[in-house]
Amino acid sequence: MDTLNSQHLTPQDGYIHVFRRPGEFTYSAPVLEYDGGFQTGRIVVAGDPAPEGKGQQHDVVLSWDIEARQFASRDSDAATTIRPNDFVVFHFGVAVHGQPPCFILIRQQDKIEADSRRLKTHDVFTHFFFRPGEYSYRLGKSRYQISVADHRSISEKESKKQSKSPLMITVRGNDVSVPHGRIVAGQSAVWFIEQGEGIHIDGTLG
Amino acid sequence: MDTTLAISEAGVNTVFHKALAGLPPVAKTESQTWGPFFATYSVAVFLSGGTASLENAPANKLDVSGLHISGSVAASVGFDLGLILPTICIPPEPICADLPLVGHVCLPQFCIPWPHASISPFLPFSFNVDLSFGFRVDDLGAQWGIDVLVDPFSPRFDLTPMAPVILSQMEAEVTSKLSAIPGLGGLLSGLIKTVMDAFTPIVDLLLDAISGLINAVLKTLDLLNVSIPFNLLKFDKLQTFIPTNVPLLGDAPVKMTLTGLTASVLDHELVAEGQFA
Repeated sequence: MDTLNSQHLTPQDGYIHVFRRPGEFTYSAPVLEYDGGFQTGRIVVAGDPAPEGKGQQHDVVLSWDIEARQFASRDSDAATTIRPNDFVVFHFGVAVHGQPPCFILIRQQDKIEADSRRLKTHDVFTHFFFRPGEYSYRLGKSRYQISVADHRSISEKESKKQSKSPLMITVRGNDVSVPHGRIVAGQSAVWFIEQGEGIHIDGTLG
Repeated sequence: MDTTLAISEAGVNTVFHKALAGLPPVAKTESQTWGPFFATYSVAVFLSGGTASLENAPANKLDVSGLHISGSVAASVGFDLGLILPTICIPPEPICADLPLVGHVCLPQFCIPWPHASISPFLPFSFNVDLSFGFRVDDLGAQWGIDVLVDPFSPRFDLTPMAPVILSQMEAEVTSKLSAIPGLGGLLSGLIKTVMDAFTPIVDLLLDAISGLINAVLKTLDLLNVSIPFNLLKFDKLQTFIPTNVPLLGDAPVKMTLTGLTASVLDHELVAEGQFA
């Protein structure tokens, strides 16, 4: 079974944040709460805003530096300039042995702009389901389910077709648009926080 | 006083087989690494059977034909598929979707953490050898020993039948591991081929290493070691003789010392001649 927990991001996860306001932001991928001081990269939001919902995607790919024992971004991602309403997809490169989970912290000076452990309106969490199984997760006080079929239980053609359509789950507070999702291993699920604060998707056993 | 003792070929067979049965089991383990492949293999051998015949002087030989050497190899071969396969991220093509109030989002790909593959084949083997031994008499302290010393020999055995067993087990393992990964689709057969192309030449190296270990194990057996005599018979140096006319009073048993012993083959019998003092 995969680890499904938006508070502990693994290489199967992605965290998307939309930058609405201009400003200079820093981001980091701490492993522990008190690791959050260092800076992994910088994002400058400037220029004419993109129309809301029409922002451009920017990717920040993080890799675990075994020697430094911290996550680092690609050199090309160290400083990124985007427009207001553009969004950044934080995800991971090839996993290395011993790579811990982390979270994404985005700061504007001393103020927290976003924290992947506490998803808020218009944040997005994605998970690529690698292993089949019955996944149960908590969101607030509610509990939901995703059934992931073994890709070998269906034809290759069908599996390929399904993997092209991610499971889209819209979150409003503690409610989700798909309480019980049914997908196949190799397919992603996307939680779009339409409205909410301090939300996390917390996979549970059973 | 001289004494002579003769053992027929049938008797020598009995003595030889009894000596074989008393040999402790022998086993050895080794490990080797070839690039990304790691192997540990243990060899255990057992000796049995064979027909002993005696060659008259001046050869004075014990010939054993068809000595059966059987055994097994317990191997473990493993490797990280990631050391052979390239980085592949799935799905191969980005999956994108329109998210309201966000935009056109292309989801991150997942770069596969290639698993470890390993097999543990059990590989039995058996072959026969024909051996020739010279006789010698050794002073064992309180005993004389009639020992045999094997002439140099090269055991010939063929382990090539093990190759398809190892290859088919590895192919099944790799297929199982890779087919469990979603999203590989049409890449699967090519990836299996890449791994098997890398592994196939290793099988010859593995079999060579196992052959070497079988030879090393055989050398640990005294019977098959060209420099270690193997004892067939023992005689106490101090022998007690009881007069034939016992129980007449005054004729107590007499102790005599076997001061020397020779062993030779006459008329296909092992003849031991000793001198008492």
